[in-house]
Amino acid sequence: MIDEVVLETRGLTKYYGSVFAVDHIDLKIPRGCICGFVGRNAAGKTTAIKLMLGLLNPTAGTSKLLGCDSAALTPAIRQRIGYVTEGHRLFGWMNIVELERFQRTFFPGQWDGKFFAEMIEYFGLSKKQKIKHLSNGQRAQVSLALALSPNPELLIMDDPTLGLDAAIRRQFLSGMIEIIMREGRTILFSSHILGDVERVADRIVVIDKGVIRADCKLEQFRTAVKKVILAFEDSAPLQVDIDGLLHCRRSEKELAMILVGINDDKIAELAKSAGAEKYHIANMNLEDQFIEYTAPDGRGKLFKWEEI
Amino acid sequence: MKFLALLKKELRECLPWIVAAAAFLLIFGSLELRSMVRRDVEEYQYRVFERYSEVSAYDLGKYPLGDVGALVFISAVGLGLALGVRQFWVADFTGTWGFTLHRSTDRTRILAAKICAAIISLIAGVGLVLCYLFWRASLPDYSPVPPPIGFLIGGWLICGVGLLFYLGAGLAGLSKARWYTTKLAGLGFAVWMFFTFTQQWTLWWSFVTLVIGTGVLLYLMWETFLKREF
Amino acid sequence: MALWIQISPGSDKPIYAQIVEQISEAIAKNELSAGDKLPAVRKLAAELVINPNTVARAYSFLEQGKLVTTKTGSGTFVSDPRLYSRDAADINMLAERMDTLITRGLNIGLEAGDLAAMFRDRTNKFVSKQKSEEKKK
Repeated sequence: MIDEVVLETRGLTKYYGSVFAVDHIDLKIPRGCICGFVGRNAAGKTTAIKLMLGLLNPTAGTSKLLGCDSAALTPAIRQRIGYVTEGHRLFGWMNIVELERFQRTFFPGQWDGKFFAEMIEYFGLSKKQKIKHLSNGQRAQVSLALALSPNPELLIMDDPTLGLDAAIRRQFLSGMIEIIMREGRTILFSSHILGDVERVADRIVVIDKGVIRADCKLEQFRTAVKKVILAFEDSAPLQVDIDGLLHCRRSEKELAMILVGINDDKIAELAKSAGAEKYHIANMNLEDQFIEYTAPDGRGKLFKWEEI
Repeated sequence: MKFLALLKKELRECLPWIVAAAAFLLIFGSLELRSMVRRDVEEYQYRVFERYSEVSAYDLGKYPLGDVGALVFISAVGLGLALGVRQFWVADFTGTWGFTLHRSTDRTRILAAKICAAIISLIAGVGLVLCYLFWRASLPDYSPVPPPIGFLIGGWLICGVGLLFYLGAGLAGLSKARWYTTKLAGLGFAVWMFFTFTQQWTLWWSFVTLVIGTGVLLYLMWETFLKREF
Repeated sequence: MALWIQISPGSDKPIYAQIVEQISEAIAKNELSAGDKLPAVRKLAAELVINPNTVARAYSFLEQGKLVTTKTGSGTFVSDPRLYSRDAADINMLAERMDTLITRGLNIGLEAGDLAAMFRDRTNKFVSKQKSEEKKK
């Protein structure tokens, strides 16, 4: 039970015509993990999530949620999984009370009505309001309440904070933290907002053009991706051959390199052997690291994060 | 409980269309009855049917209740198409398939709820109104001879045609093919079955046609829905 | 209960490091004194809207630095400075940090005497602030 893998994909692939939406992804999310699934637009996040939930059929590979094959998720398994769809799409004609009644029917014995009522009150929503009359942010709040009230073991959220204002985003994250504090809950959420990922996630998965480029602990990613600037007396060399170099930009007397998994001592050595006069390790926040990591010039490079 | 919740949701979504079809049939059907009065009395004298099985679907277009029969066709087919679109096309635009399908129940049951809702809708929106109109037409102030029961049965079979068009429209909505290729195949099949239906000599054969057509479309719909990507 | 702790996720400093820094500074300035209880991990996590593991990591780091001690079941408390056992490693680390500051100072053109004076002044300011905080209590 302790190291149980809650979400597993092996060689999961989906292509449309000749385009790989998702290209042989291997993931293993253990129980209790809060995994931030990040990638640029059209990287394959939504496709991957839909494949995991059995809403799309894979071209190749397998996917399992709670030990059950995604293409054949049983009702019992679906009852243990919460899903927040992209755009928080709900039935517009229903009001909040009707939606709650509808949703709770599918979680017999599991639904926390008190929690739902508290969330709705906290958000300042009126129960009689119809979904179509709510703003995007309010609809997101309802969607979150509907997904959290059954107290799911596994919560999958597709870009849950997209388009929400800062205050509602914060509420959303609070809701997630609430779930995190319950034992054995696992969350997989895709996001564009690195700040949210940094707050809440303990694991980061970077997907780029359908390929998983990184899959590791968040703190590992934070310490591994570094920007090193080498300054040269004369002109900077055209290229440097370093294991762990993602990509490198050259100006006349400087070389700005993005290195992955090289510790500070080794950087000093590298600077020396490259003949640099000085070197400087730049400070990067998670957003900077993500942007550099997914920059087109480094696209072909894959790193073995288990070894970093 | 889960099935009922799904059924209630589907029915509530079909409701405006049920009301529209029922209102249409009730209003225009009543108007039609009022206008007929003694118009076709002589026809009745020549063609009194003893057994309802002698009435064919084609006849339904010719006799007193026949003009009402045309209205029944229109409302049944119209309602069927509307339901097919409402249940299977709208969700693509509103993006709610994900919310609908991630449920602790089989996909078959979700589809079954939709189909049951469509059947109930056709019964309530067309079938029951037809019964009412038939009862009105049986009253002495409308015609000297009550219309044969065949008309009522025929009318109910027309509701079945509505179901065919519902399934056809639904299949068209579920199909991911292009317009000009096989997307409308289901609907095309429904239309073909409809013509076959009207060409049968007796109501019995019309019924058989309906059963075969519905069976084929139901199977196709079930298969498509289970495998389709959302 | 330490509601003054603020974090910003977009910073180049990891969140746990920001918490460590703020608590360390508060202890240094005597805004937090020996025996004060730090907020419970979950409470602080809920307040800051961050993963509880991050708070736990910060507390663990502080504990390694001997600034706080955790008593299982009771919580995390600011350590009594008298209980610090300054070992050679602590002194070395401090010396290294001082060297960094000295290098920076000399690089920007300060004279050695000015630099030393600056150090002295700021230390005195800190200590007097500490004393005034104590007086308040």
